[in-house]
Amino acid sequence: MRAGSEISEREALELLVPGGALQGPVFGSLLARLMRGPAELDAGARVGPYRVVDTLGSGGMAVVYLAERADGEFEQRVALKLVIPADGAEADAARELLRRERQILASLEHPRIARLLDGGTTDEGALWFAMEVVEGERIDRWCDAARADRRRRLELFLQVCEAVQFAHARLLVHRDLKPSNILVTKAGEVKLLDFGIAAINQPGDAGSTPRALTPGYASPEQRRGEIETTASDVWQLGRLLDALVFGGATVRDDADLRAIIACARNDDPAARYATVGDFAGDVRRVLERRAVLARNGNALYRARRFVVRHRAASALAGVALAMIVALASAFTVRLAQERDTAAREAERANATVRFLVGLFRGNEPATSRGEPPDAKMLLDRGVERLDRELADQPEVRARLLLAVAQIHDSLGDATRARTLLDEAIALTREGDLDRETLTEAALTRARIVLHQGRPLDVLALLAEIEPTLDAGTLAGRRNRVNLLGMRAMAQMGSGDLPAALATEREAIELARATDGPGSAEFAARNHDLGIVFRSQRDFRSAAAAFDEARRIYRTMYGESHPLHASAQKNLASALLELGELDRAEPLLLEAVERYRVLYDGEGALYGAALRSRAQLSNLRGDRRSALADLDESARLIEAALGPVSTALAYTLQSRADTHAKLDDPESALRDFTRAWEIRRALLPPNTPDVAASANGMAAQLWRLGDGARAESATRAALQVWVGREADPRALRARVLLGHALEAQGDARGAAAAFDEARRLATDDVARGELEKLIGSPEDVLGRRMPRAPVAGTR
Amino acid sequence: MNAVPRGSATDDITQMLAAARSGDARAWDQLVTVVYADLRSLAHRHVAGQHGDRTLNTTGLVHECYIRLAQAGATPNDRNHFFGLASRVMRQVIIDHARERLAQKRGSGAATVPLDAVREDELAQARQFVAVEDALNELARTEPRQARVVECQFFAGYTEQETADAIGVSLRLVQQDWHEARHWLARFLAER
Repeated sequence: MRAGSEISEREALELLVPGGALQGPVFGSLLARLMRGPAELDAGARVGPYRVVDTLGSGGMAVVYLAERADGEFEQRVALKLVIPADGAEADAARELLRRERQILASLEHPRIARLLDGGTTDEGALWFAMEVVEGERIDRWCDAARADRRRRLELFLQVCEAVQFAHARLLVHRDLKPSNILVTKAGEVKLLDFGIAAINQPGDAGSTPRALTPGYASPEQRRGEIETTASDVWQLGRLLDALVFGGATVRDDADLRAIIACARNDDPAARYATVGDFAGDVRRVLERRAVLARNGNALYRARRFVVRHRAASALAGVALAMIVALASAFTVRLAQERDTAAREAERANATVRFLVGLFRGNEPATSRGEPPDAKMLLDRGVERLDRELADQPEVRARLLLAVAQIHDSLGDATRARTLLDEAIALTREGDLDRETLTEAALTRARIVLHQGRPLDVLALLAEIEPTLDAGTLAGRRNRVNLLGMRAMAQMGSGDLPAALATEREAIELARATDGPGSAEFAARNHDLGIVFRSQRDFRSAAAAFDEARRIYRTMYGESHPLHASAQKNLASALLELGELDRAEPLLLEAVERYRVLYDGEGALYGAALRSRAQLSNLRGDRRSALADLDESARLIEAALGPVSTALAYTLQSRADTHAKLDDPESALRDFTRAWEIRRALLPPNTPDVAASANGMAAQLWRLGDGARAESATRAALQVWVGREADPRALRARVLLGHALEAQGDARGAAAAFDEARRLATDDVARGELEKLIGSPEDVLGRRMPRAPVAGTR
Repeated sequence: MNAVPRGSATDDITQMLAAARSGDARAWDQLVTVVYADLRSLAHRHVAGQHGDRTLNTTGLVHECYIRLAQAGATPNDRNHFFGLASRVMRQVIIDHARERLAQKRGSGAATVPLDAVREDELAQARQFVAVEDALNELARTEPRQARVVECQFFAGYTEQETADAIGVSLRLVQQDWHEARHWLARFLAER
């Protein structure tokens, strides 16, 4: 409670009269302050290079004048809009944004958009915008006055969509679409006013200051004070369509239009039309009396998926960049203002960047057939924009370059990502700037190297980065989680599984402490832990880890998200390895179906999912179904990734196994050989997978009676196991060597190989399998083909 | 004609009220914006008519503002609802301003523009307003309706009848509430 106000009871009673707060100096100064706004300029008043001619209108926080060039350079009449900022801080932020955005807005040339010619601030701190003068009437009033029928109204609405779509493609969001900002000219053409002005006038979150949102036309996320995106414009267009076709009518008599409006105005931005183009497409369908997508959930879903597959990356890139730029602007402005606020803003900006980059992560290189070129184009345009407008702000520019590089990486363009990263790193180093940005850029570079399959280089890079991490900040701890996760994968890639496991466990604990056990980071670490366990063939632990990741992803992103589908598939595969077919089957079939829908039945990821389903079929003994899935899997993966990829090698290896079991050693040999060639080209020579393919080749060659080549295949396999001779797979190779020698008539050599294998075997289970393979190889490897001339092995 | 026609603020009031009824937090901010804007334009007109005379009939001015805005409400219910909300807006606007003035004074140095100079009598009143605000919050804990009555009458300058309509109680109850609350507040303020 405040200190005493030193007021007696009598004085208090005198104060507490009706209207008491409206009397005296406090309210007087309030009114005086309100009057100091820039309103009510007289004719002849100068604003920037313009002279006021007449008042056109006023409302809310703005007044619009008709004005002309005061310097007489050339005759030009403009609509001059004066906006009263809520307070000094907002005015500063708006000025800063205006300075940066002016160029872009001025370049927004479209016949249906009133051009913004210039803008600035008055001495009193008000913002002014000079716009093309438009003679026309508000769209809703024009429609009523012209008694426009529904068709005409829809056609006008489509003109509005066309203009908004044009701006969205240029990374501009209107944020204040409403009837008073949309005029219809005498020629019956639509003109949009105020493009970009709302964005400048209300930069970032104005905190407690009331923001001049247009009542009834503010989207749910705008009302919550969140960042506005193209989805907000879609919402406002839906509101506009509602007003235009149904007006104030209580009965909305057209089910199609009702459904379209409901879709556009969904509270959840992600459930709305993905683009204005889609929205307009549905309106056009109404005009053409065709079925609208909005009434067909599946079709809409498919359309949305299609967008995600083919265009959303570009739309996302656009939105992402617009958001990043807006955030960065807000961030820089605040930085100058207040330290605490700046820290908060920076954290928010970082969070958003993380989120956006995360969105693109679903699009890892392997997942899509090709890279969406539109996205690249937009990203490049975004980078140009950064170069042009943020040249004097290296810190923000470095951060944004980093974000764009991460998006490039997610889209599979490692080269471009590297270039941008190097630029970001150089900027940061030169200016001795933000250490977190530098660290994050270095980490991203390491991730690219990891994707390129160079684990040893990654370990070296990470060792360089580690000392720069700051455990005292949230960003520092997150970077550490990131670093540990990468180190674990690199250790696994280099064959050091125990180290990988220890590192991943450390990463998990740190992720739990930093972001909590329900976070995406924690889920990602669990997923990777599962992968480490899997390569250790500890499928029980792998299943538990995948299940944990799956549970978190489901809560965070929903069941149809690629990350959830991936965790689900990996869980199912691990269960298959454990022989828990009944538990695995429903999970696997569902996951495969999710992949099919997510990737339109194409791409390497769906191909890999089919491979898992084939594994299930094989275990159920349905080898024909397995073979069909594997054929399709190989085709899809090869189409997506080319003829040489580890993913393709996995499918070929599985298909070879299936052929072998179907008593077709020739086809099996062909696939084993291809898998071996691919693996030898891509993997370090001591990788178990290389040996597995060689073992397969050896077994088929033996079946076909080609002892000599079987022998060289087994020797190749044994090369892999040098130093790890007791591994069950190494023992198997040694027994195969014995059979190969035997087939060539070298009984003594064969016996020596068998004895060596027996000597090396460490446990009874291994020994038992060994004896079976030694004693009755045909039961294990398959029927030996009748001795025929050695042919068709290639 | 270009853009922003006169009176567009009131056009949307009905929608805003609907939003406020359904518990939309943003509607509140919008209302504050609208009230500010309307107060501003009214203040301008008054000043223009009085050639700079600074002693405005402020209560009348504010009233004119309410009436203009409330006319946007189509039904009597809307109108009452608007009055109910507007009183809270006025309370917030005035208290925010009073607090700002006190803060300005605390932070002011040589750089203060003379026009902006905060006079001692204004500071004293601002302190009183803030004290009333605190006391009113205290009162609202036990007697929320009485606090609403004070809000309507003291901060918004409503008549007794307008207060009764805005809160939705009888005239007699308003008179009784005002009497009790006023004395309770006076005692509370004096004892601190």
